[in-house]
Amino acid sequence: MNSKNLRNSYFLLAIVSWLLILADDIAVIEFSQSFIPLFFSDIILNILLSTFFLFTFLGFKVDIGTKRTGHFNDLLWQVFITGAITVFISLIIKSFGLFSQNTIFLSDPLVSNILYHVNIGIITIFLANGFYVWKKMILYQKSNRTNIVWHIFEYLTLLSVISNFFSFDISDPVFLAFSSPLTILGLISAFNLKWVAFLSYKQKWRSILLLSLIVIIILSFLERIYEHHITSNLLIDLAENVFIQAIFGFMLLNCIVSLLVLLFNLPTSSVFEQKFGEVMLFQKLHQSLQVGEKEEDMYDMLVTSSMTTVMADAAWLEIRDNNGGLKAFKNKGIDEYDVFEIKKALRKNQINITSEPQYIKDIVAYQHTDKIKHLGFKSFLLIPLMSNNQLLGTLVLLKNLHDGFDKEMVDIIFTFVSQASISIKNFRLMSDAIQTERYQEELKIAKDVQRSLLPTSMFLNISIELSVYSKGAKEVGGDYYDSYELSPTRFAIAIGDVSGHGTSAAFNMAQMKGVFQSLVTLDLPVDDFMNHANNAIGRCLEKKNFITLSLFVINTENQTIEYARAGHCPAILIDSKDHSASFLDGKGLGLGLSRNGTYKKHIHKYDLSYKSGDILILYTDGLVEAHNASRDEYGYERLKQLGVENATSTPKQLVDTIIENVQHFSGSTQFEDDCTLLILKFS
Amino acid sequence: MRITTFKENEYYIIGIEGDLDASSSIQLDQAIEEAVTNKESKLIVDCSQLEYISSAGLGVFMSYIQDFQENNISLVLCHLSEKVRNVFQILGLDELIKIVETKEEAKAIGQ
Repeated sequence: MNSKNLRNSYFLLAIVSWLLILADDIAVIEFSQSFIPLFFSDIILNILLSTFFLFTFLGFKVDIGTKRTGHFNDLLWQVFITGAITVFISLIIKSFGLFSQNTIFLSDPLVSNILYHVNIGIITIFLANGFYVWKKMILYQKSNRTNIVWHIFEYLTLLSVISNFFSFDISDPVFLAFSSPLTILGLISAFNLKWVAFLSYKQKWRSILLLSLIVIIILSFLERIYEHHITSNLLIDLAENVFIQAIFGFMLLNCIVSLLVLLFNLPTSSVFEQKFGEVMLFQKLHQSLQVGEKEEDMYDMLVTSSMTTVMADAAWLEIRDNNGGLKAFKNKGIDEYDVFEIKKALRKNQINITSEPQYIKDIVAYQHTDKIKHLGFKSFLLIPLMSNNQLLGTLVLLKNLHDGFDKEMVDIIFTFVSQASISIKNFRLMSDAIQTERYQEELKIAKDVQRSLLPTSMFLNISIELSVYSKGAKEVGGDYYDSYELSPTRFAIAIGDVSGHGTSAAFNMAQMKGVFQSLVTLDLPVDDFMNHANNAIGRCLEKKNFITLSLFVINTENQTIEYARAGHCPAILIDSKDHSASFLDGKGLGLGLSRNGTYKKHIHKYDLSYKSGDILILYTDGLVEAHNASRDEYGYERLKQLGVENATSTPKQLVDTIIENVQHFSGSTQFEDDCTLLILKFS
Repeated sequence: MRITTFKENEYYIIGIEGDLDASSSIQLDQAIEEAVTNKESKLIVDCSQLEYISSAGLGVFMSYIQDFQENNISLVLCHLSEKVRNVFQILGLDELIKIVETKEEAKAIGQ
């Protein structure tokens, strides 16, 4: 059964019990004496009364127990309102009696008893409600012990309903044996007043008011009960009911204890509130450490929170970047110019920011302070923001009071600042990580750009068989090759290497491609081509960058090659007849290395002729500089030798053989540098 | 990589040890820059301990060649290993930078 149904059935049973009491009243008084023996009727009445009490209490127990704890003021308000309504109802009942004073109405035992039973009903409701509301307050932030004490108390109280069946004398030892533990437990519980501490100053005043009103209501009920006790001839007399008296006593005791505690708490509550505020500020600061909050916002909060905590009149915060430059500046309660003047005065007094906090009790006692005296600031607190021995910044708090910072304040501020330092450091690490990631992303783009600059297909001619291997390094490199069909029998082919790595290499390579594609169509002699290329490249590239390039113009009709080598690794030509190999290592300076107009002197054109079956090996330094674990380079000789040994291979076979051999030599399939290999076989 | 600089009479000697690549070339650049600001006019680079030079390392030398020619500062490299010398030769830099066998020869050229 859910709690709502449970509560409803309890209340229903309570109402039924109450109605039965009424019925019993009528039975006893109207048809008195004749039907039922008085003794018997008394027992029934007491059973009904007990069940009414029990079910009303149980109903409220479930009802209040399942509700979420609102504020304590709301709980007290609930008790008061229930009280006020019940008092109002009982006043109406009383007025009945007043208006009909001269009639037989009041003296009629039936009427007076029925009215009294209505009173019993509403008083029970008031008491049950109050009892369980108090339970909530007493058990607020309960300890295990409090919990046990309360439950024993609660069940003993409910058990005391049995007392309805007996009439007691106060001096009766049985009564004492039962009531004294109940009183003691009630007293212990009544002093669990943790909730008082959680009220603000204003709420405490409100609680005092509500409690006083509740006390008045309780007293008015008690007065009503005793009045009836004296004047009427009652079937059930609450004045003689131990259970009801005990609950009244419990509530009255609690109200008075709470009232006293609240009154004594009033003077200290402002201090408590401040401390509580500090805790909240701390929490706020801590939350700002979470990702998402802007760094700027955190500076703001650090300044504001610190000022609030120590009740400073002004503050400024300087944040330095990793190189010691000013990164952020926040000022509050003081303008920038005055900050400048104060800093100047501090410097003149040899007060510098160190890794230790510094406290100036009264700045007026120092020299060179004429210019800042009018500002009114007296005590200063200078706190460095440190992380891993690195000075991140400084927080300075200013007060108009002489020696205005006490130790507690200073301690709190230190904790504040060290928390803030951690978050500033976190922000920095985060932005560094983002920077690195962005850099890597850029590199990836550069790499893509670089690869896209290489031709997807080379020229096609039946008299030249061609195979290409080109592999980018992990980083962005600068290997470049390109070709152009000058005529159906003449082809230009270029291979080069842009110095440097990274994004700039990719851009330089783009320049090289532009220069090549625009000059090659002019069909210049190769040395002129290089001269023009050097001029163009020299104007575009940074001083410390250069490009090596070899350019070959192959004439398939005459079987001749015209070439110029601008600092690039010399190509290897393998003779198909005697399987000899030669380096095409004519003189030539890299592009961009001479920018004073004398380049022409350093570049030469060479001519040679080839035969069918000859092989031309073009490559970049990534191939010959591949090294093994003991840092030996693959070198030119190994390459040349391999070419000679495989002089009859097809270009594709030779490319595979060479790459396999180089990888075997270096013990890795990943080249450290870019690596490009072009093999041409003439037919 | 390690760079050592010292003066021998009027000669400013820069010794390079280890690999001269993209990351270490900055140090060489600083050493040469320092020599220029100190108004040194006779620079000798001792490459006896230089094991490898990358294009970035070469770039450092290249960036000063024109300045040095215009301002009459002499730059001579000596004690190059065969491998390093080969790199200079392939690039054609041996035509622009004076490369000699020994420090004495370098001093003689600097005269």
